[in-house]
Amino acid sequence: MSVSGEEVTIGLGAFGMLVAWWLGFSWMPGRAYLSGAQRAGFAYGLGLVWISTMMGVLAVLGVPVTRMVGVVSIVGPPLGWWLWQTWRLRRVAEREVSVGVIRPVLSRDPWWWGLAALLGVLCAIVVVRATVKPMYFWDGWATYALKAKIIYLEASVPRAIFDWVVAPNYPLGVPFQEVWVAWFAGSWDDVAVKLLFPGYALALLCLVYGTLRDRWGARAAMGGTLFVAGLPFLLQHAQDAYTDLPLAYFVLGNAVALTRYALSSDRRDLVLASVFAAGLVWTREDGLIVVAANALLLAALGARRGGLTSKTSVTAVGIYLAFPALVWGAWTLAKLHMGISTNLHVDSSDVMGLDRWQTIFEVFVRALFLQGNWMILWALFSLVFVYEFRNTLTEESMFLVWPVVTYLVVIGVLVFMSELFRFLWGDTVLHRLILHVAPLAALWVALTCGRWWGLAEPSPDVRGEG
Amino acid sequence: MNTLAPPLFGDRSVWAILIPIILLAATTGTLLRESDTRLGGATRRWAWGLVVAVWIFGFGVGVYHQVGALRVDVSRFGGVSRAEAYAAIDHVPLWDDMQHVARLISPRRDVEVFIDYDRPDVQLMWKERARYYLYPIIVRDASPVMVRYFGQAHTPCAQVESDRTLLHEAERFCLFQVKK
Repeated sequence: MSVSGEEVTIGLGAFGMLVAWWLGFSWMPGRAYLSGAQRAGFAYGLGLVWISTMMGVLAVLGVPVTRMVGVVSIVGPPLGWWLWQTWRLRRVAEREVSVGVIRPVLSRDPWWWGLAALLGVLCAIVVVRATVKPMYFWDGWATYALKAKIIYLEASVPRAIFDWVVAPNYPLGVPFQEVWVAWFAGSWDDVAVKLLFPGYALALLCLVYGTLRDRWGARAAMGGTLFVAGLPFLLQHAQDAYTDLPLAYFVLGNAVALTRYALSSDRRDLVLASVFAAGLVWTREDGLIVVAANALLLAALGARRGGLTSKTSVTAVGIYLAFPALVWGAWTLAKLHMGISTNLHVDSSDVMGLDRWQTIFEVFVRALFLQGNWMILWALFSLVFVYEFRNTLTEESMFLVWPVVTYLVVIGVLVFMSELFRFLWGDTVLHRLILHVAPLAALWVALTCGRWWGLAEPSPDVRGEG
Repeated sequence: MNTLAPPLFGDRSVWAILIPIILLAATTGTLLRESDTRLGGATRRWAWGLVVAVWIFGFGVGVYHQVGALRVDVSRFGGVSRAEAYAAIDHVPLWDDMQHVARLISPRRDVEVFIDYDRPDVQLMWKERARYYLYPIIVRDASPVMVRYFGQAHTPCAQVESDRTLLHEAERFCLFQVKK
């Protein structure tokens, strides 16, 4: 059996993706800090945020963003850190592991294997669909991949890129990640580059499984993961190069890390959430809505515990906002310097006032409930939200529920105010916006229904699981 | 053309029937979640069972939809060369033609791409695809060099742009330069 050049290129691209994963693992503190699945879930985002931020730094410093310079400066620091950590903290890590409850990653339960096989089939379909064809849909190549191709071929971020490429105001996080894969592929190959996106889906599912497994048995956790993985629109987006799934992944990771922080007050979780918040604003502009919502929730949590202006509260909000503020601040300065403004403009449509709200409400209801892209998710979410309203304010739930609600409300207001209103009827704009928070909503629904059904284990242990 | 995923069943279809059932069943299950009577327990189990059954149905349809999409993708793109795959996406061998153009122009020169086709959405699509394929040749309006792209057999280039110098004539495009 012979292997074609294109297959070799795709294989090399996949290797680049695995290196990104390894970079995330190497930055992760302490082996016993997270369960195996959660580590895998967080590692991908950590690695990609590190890669795309470092590329931005290199470009700002005027260093050529070539493969050699890029790979050395991006892989070097985490490699050094990993070697030092491995050497210095080996014994500490072993001690941490021995304290925690070690669970095998794979279960012996045949039901677990059956559900895992179903999940495997879904993932295989996504990977085959992603690798069988080049980038297909508009935004994937016109908005993001073209920028990445230019950066890859120029080994810099040329000023001209912002003059004639679609949507110059969109953040460069994903294009930089695509450049990373292209470095490993050895040429610009948009099939190899597209492997990033099934990777996002896989990392998202690892996060979901890890989070459910912290509270439930293996079989129930796999069932809950299937509940999230079965969202049709999520599967559809895992096979082309839009930024909506990456944003959904960062939204979910943010919420999981902040929930861990709320339950344990471990600042490592806060730092993790901060890095994921940087991933949010570096992926899409609307990631800002979720970061702002989370900062407000953190402030509310601090106020409840020791007062809004207490040192702990201010420090927590400060740590959380540190990374996104740096990334977004630098990007905003760059945009101001180049005279780039937003592409979201106030609408001067004929439909105004109450008619406009009524239209928005109807279109939202149709998209959330009636069009099959989310199956029963939003029906269950609405119901659980009403019946569990008091519990939505607890540490366990606040970061899982309120970012979803806030995001949808703010998007509704933005649709009312801006020309987004005109796109409500067009193709899948609204569904793509809903996707940003849908996996998180599904996780919360799964957790709550699981609690109602008695799936939660008597003494959940969120630390030290194998 | 830009639709990534059309709704599975369209508006007000099967979900318009299933969602009220789900809401009713899940509400029943929720309200009875602390009921310890025999009837209450049985009703609760039936209600949640119905929710799970509808989810399994939706999941099955979702998998069926994905398998269908996989079959379409594999039948269109499986085993074909990259050039054929791009041609399947663009409905014309635009990628091949732009490779041809790229061999005729030195890199980093500007070129204007004029799409000679009667549908505005196709014009926009092909022009942006050409921009993507041609880089590092930059597509810019009012450039001295112009590609006139037809996507099919066309009238002789000399009759198309009489006030420009013809640089090259190909099966689906003409390459011109402004007369000096």
